[in-house]
Amino acid sequence: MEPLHLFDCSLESDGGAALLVTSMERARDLPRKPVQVLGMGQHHPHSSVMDAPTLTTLGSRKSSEAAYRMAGLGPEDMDFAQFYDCFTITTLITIEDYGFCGKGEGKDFIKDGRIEVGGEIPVNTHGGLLSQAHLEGIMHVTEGVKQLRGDAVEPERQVQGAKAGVISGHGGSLCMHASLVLGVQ
Amino acid sequence: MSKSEAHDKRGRAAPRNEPFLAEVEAQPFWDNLKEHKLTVQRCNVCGTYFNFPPQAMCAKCLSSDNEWVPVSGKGTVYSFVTYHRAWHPAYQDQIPYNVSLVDLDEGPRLVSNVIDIPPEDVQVGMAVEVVFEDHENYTLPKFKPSG
Repeated sequence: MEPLHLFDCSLESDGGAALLVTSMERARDLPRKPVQVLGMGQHHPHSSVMDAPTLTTLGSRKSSEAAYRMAGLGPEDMDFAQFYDCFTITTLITIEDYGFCGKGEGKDFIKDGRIEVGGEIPVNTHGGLLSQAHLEGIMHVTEGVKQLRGDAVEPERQVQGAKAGVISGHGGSLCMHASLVLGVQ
Repeated sequence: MSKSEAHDKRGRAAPRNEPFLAEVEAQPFWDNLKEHKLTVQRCNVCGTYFNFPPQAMCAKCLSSDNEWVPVSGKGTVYSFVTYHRAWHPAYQDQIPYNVSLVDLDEGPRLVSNVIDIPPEDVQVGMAVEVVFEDHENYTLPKFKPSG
């Protein structure tokens, strides 16, 4: 379906992942390094995609603003981003809505290795839905946790010295969005 | 084998490529189309035109008092795609074909096809107007470039 081609579309997959959420007090006593939820946000602007006034700015804009506000951080403070990437266009819109570049600039922003590991803002270091597996986005969260632990992924995939990262979740045919800012002290 | 009895690659009976006419809220839409009238729902309380699909109540003021009113049939292409594969056997002879989001001048957005021109000539922002495609049991609203 032009303009999307085969590799612009993720493949929904079977699998599983889990997160253990507890208080920092308890987490400090656990054997693995704890990762903190610094901020979260959500925005669900409409109930049907046909009610969306625009398809180029989604719930991701207000959702990310809420998460940044709670964290007291901004896109410039993020060491990586794990963005829900059901289709390639979703990643571009999310990069724009999360404030990494202006509206319509995403296609140029991602050039020249800027979103690769070692680039300005590594995006989807685990491959995302497009290149790892589409498990409804849970692996974006587990990858964020692993990156912040600093000892959980292969060295070539590790964002060196990562202290904070942002994660997006998206659903309901462009109607729902959730954001998470994670960090370590 | 007739088109309505087409099967997909796994041998499952494929649904007919006809609109689902049994939806009660949409009945006036299909009835009006048979008379070559394009109509949309409008709220009798706040005047808001409803988007598709047909809805029981106004998304703005939550009133369930609404009626189907005629629209000009003129609009612009908001976005579009081109299908190069037939996801249903009945579309096999139509590929490549256009599927567009058409913003009616009155506001509501429709999913339809821009016809009469090759898919590669369809443009975002293109002015279009409705044309009625009659079938045996139903009429489809499609769009062609204005003028």
